[in-house]
Amino acid sequence: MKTLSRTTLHMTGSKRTALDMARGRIVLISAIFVISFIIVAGRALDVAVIQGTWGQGQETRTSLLEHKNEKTATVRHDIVDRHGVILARSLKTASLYADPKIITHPETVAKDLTAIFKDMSYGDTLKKLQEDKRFVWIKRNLTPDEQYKILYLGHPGLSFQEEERRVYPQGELAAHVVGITNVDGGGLSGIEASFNKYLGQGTSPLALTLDMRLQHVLKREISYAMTKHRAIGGAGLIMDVRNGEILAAVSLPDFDPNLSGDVKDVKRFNRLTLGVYEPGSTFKLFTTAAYLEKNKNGLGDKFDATQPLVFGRFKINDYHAEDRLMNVAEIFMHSSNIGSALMGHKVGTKDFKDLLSDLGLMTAPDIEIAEISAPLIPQNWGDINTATAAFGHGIAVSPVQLVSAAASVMNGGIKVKPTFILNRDIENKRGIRVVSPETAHHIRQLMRLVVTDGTGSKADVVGYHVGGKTGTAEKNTRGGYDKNRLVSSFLGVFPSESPQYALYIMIDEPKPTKDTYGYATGGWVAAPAVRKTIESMVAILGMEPQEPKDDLKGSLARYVPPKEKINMQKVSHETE
Amino acid sequence: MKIFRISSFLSLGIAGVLAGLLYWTSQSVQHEETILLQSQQAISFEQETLQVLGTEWDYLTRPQRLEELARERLNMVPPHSGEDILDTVSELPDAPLAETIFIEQAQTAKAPSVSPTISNAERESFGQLIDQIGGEEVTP
Repeated sequence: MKTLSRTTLHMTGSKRTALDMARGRIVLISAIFVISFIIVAGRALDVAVIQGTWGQGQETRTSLLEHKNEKTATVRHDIVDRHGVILARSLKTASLYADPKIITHPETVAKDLTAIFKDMSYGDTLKKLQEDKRFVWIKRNLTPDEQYKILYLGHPGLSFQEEERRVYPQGELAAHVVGITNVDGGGLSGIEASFNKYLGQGTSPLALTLDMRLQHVLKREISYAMTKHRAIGGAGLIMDVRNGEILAAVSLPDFDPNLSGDVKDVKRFNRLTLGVYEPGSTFKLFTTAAYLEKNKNGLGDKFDATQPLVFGRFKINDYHAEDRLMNVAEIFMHSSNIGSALMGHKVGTKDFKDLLSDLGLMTAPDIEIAEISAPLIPQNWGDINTATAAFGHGIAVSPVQLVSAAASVMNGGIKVKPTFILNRDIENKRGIRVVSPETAHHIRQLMRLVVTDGTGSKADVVGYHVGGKTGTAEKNTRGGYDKNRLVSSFLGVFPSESPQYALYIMIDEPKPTKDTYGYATGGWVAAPAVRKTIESMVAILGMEPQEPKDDLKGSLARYVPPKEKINMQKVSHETE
Repeated sequence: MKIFRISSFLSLGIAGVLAGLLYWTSQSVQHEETILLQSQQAISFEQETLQVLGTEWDYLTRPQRLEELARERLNMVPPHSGEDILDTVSELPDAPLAETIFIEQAQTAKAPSVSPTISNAERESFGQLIDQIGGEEVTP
């Protein structure tokens, strides 16, 4: 029994163990099933209730994250003026493309598309839609209204891609300086081209030195002068003589950068930096400066302007002939070519060229714009070239160069580098002296005298002591100089006592009118435009008028004899 | 081996609680993240709108447009020619007609009465106030 019972016990134990194992397995499998069901139920609850209810009406995280990744794409930076007015900005637009494989009825789609885009032809559109491709551009940079119309059509296979479009809110106003970009956002001209990398990667908008209000005033006056004198073109510049900042830069004719696709090259031509012109009498400023640098007390030195000057086969005449002995002040005031040529001759070719070189008139200007031209200077510069360059002929420089050189003289003799970029005047702060302060002062006195008593009287503004120099250059054609094709200009500065702004206006091929008594010279064409510009400019900038006692011209009176005295001198000269 | 030990249940319970906490945390983070993303999207949308509005503003306030509008609507012109700048105050032009009439009326009209006018209602309420503080009303 014992054995039996032992056997029975053993059997019972084995049976129990097997049963236990089976039970354990069942529990384990059940547990796995239960846990799995709990997980599935939990997930169902999560998706259906927690996320479904809480996230109702909201975009899913996935789509939000996708959108966030899109945002990281670089946006081309703005170009703004000195007061933050937008000159160029990239805005997001939708571009329309098609997947021809999905389009079932290309004829209907083409018909609908051409009804929306009037400039597209049915044939071309249909051809695009029937191509054996998965991607065809239909039209880039749509307006929101156009995009809405396409969405309303609801054709499958038409989709949009977000792109950037460069917008120029100021239109033509600063087109030559700001420049344009191509359809892919790459700079093609102006600041857009020269700062292409910065605008693509930079951290902040690019601020220019331009002031749109002054830009508008300058453009308005140049356009008026051009229309009045039926000119083919014009250009103008306003520069801060203290730091070389260009506040306004106009070149006409101009173009709308928003519609730059079909603009004629003549309109794209930037006369200020790319055009080089014989400056005419405005260049006498540098001749006189060179003379006064060599002869400190030379304002009273006299030169014989009675006879034309003959250099080999060349003859130099006076436009405003005074036909008498004249001192340096009178030569400048009456713009005598003979006198200036004699002064240039006395300075000497080397010293004259050295000063022009110091003023940056012998090499291409260093300015932040792609379109620049080097000046045209005689290859073998001899004495005859010094004589002609002394009154601004036989040498051609760009207006921006001319104004920078003049600003360097007018500001007291410190060289300034022209700039279009705000807060970039570090180099100008260092300053290199090009002429002495005394010479600079005399030049300012002489320029004031030109306006009060000389050829530039039409540039005078009551209460603001404007100084300046007129310039009239005959255009060089193949057969020599053409008296009927002029480049008339005026280079002004104000206030003369402590100059702040240099103004330059140039009118290309002006025709005389009845009002100007048949003249189309700088004094008749450009000087009035400068006056009107200054009149508006002082109002915009809130500049207070000056005291008459500060006027610079007074101190030069002793060099400029009154008209009666001149006539008496002439009579005695003739009787001798 | 004993499967159903208290420690096993305890561990399972702790694991369950921790899993629940983890789930709750993850849900909260996701929820906050969604709100953050939505806010960022809303901000960027507003920024884009501002970009467009800023461009439009600068387009509408172009100097040439403002000048045209000032000329058309306000009869204003740029300050041109020497005559516009006066040397003395006496050179100031006469005031426009409407203003002249107004000035004349102002000069000839009787000066308004300055004696105080007090309504009966005000007088009564003032009387009550005086009564309350135990004073006497002084009749003017």
